[in-house]
Amino acid sequence: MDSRHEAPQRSPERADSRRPPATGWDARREAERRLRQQQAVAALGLEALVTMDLQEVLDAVSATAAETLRVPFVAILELVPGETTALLRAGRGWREGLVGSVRVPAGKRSAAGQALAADEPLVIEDLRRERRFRPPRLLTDHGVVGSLAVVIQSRSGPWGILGIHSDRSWSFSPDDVHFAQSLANLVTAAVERQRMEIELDRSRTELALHAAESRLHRSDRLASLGTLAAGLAHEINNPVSTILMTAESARMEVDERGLDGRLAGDLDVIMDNAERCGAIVHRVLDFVGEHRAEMTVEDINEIVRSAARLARTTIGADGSREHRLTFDLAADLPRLQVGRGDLEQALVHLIGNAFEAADAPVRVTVSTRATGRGVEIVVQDDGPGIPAEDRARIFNPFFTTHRERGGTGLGLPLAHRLVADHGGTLDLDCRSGDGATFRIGLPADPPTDPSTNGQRG
Amino acid sequence: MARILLVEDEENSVRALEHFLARSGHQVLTADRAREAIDRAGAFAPQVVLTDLFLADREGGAAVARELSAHDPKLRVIVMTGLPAAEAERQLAGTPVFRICLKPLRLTDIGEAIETALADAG
Repeated sequence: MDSRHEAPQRSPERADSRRPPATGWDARREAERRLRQQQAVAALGLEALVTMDLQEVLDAVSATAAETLRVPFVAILELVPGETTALLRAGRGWREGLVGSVRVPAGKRSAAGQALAADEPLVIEDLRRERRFRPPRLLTDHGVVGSLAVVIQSRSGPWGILGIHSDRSWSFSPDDVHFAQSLANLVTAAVERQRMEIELDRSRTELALHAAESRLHRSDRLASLGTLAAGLAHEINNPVSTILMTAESARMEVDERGLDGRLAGDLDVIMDNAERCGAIVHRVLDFVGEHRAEMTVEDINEIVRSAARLARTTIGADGSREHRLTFDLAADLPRLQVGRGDLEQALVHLIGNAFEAADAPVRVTVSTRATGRGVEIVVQDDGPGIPAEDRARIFNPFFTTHRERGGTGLGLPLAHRLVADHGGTLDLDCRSGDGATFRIGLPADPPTDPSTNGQRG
Repeated sequence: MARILLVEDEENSVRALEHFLARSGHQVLTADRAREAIDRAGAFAPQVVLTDLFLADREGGAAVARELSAHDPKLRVIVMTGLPAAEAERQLAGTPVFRICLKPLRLTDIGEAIETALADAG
């Protein structure tokens, strides 16, 4: 049913498109009205979408509707999820205390329900003669007679209703209806924007939470590994020491007595492997053990250069691979209190990881910059990068993709640990395209006792 | 030749160490508890004490080092331990120890430590 076209035209100025051409005077007034409405929507639209939150948009839409259409009442109803009622979210002209609290029926037999069921804006010329539904008390109490109701849509279905109400019997012109529809569309845009902002916020929170959680899990893993390793070290080192000394004692006996060479060789194998066990235990202890480096105020750029020299000599010694190392160091870095040796070691591991992870020569760039909270050090390489499936595991102890090139899987976890001891963060930047980018964030105010962040060995 | 007090509760280690030290020409007295070591040290007058950090009794190598060094400032104490270095250093903080030897150890490591300790004592 197209009620707006059925409504008899009472006022000559509220022209219907089916009416005979308007006189020059009428046409001018109508054009002016249309212009005024279009300007109102345009002015509100831009501001609404740029600066306002949803409630501000609803209030502004209510005011604009009331002033432009010159009606005493405007209601913006929001459907209450899971209920057949709608809340008066915003409006104009209603008695104090109603906006924001009163609910109106929105079931099938209600005015709101009728508006929702209709495909087009619902025009009620005279509420007192309405038979399709029971007029809501909100309207009858305020003496509303003529009404126009436009559904406010959202991506997930109807969000609510924009109601424009008069205390007179009133037919709305197509321009009025069009104007109301534009306002409703504006509300739709604001509702959608709010929904997206909420979703974005939630995603951001989840991301931050996820990052915090994985950091926590990493330090948990390190903590339990630290306890385990210290206990294990003692339990393993003692019997391995006995094996080593006993084998050595026997080896000395063999030499003394000039016994057959095969026995000496066997004892050497036992001794070598016992020593190897010891070396592994100590490497693990290096990783999980406490790092109680003295905290001194240092020039971070200088530490970066010195770490690069160390990385070159310790890792780049393999002449077959000519890796390149470049710097982009900010001149205005604040000096920070750090454990110099620990930070150097962390950087050596990061640079070394870039060298070792690549089959071909890579270019590694180390850059520094001052951030609001301290200093950021970025170690970026143009190597093969880190596959998505490995990214969550690279800080796990013993995870390595280059064991055959001597990787132990302890470099990155140790670097992470050392940076965490500074109250800093070490993260893999997954956004980068080729290569891998590691970011170290060092706070200007480190924890006073770096060992409180570390795990006891 | 030197008098060496070996304090260790792991029987097989004692066997290897005692044999090695004797073969190196040292005079060795062994004990497996801190209290026993402290009690017997007076008559033996060791120049070097080689002790494990953890012993069968509660006091351990740290007590041996403290009590015996108090009586003889020229005594050199070498502590052997399976603990991580940082933890051993923490447990021995303030204790007069010439050297901490981290296990696993070779006999030759021990031999070298003893020679150094004797040279240091003068």
